[in-house]
Amino acid sequence: MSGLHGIDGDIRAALEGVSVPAYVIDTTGVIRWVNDAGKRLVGDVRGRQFTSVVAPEETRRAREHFAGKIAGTRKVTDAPVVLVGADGDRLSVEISSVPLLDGHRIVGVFGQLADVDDAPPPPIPPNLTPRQAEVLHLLQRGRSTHQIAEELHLSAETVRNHVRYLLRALGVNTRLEAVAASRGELLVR
Amino acid sequence: MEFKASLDEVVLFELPTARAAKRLLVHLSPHRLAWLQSGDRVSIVGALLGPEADDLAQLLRSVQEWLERIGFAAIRFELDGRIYALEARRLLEAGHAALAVR
Repeated sequence: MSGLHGIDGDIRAALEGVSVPAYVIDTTGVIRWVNDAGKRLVGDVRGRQFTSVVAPEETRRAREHFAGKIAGTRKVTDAPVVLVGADGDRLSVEISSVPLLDGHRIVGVFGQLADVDDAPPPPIPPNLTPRQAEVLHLLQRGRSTHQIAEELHLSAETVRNHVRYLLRALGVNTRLEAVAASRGELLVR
Repeated sequence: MEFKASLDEVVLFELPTARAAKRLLVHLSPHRLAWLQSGDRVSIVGALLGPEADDLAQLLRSVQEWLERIGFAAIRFELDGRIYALEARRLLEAGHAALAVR
């Protein structure tokens, strides 16, 4: 270990007060703890299912990550997620999460929001499937085909297919145009 | 999990991957009606409960043994609109042993 156990300080109180949002979810998916910074961001969501604070198009991926964490097949997840904030706004964040252990038992998931993007994420065009919306969101974050494939547990070819359909649905020809179109921007051709 | 069509005689298990869901289906199918939930969602396996009073307990024990064998620590399942977590028996027993030592 890092020697943290040898420090007498109150780590719990520090986690409560630190300005980085943090949370604990139990194995049934219920949010059990949110620090003050987290409450400022998404409200006091204790007692709610974690999917209730995730944007609808992101819940599938969030559940996959969570299921892998409590099954013990995923040790760390660093992933971009769109959350629904306390005021109903969409928030683009990077979440880093790990299984919470009690001895050998996984008793939940601990996570921190590593990066909160001040600019709200653009709305997802309504004619996209949830999977296409996920791919578009990762394109907006600058992810490559291989990074998207890894993130979504798909083959690179499947990702290329999703991108192809996505371009068609948005009426554009390139990934850059897709990102621009999803943000309501126009590109000079 | 938010399954809208949940019934009290159906148990829905949430698996981390489609491959794991297929393996659980193979494990359950010889003994009861079970299926993969279709659609672009997290991998869900549904299982129908029989009329016997202890059928739910038998199903959960069977899935616990499967968890043990496949090396998963826990999965979530939904029954009658509520979500629970099912842990591998080895880990539960380790937890009980740890409690007994304390």
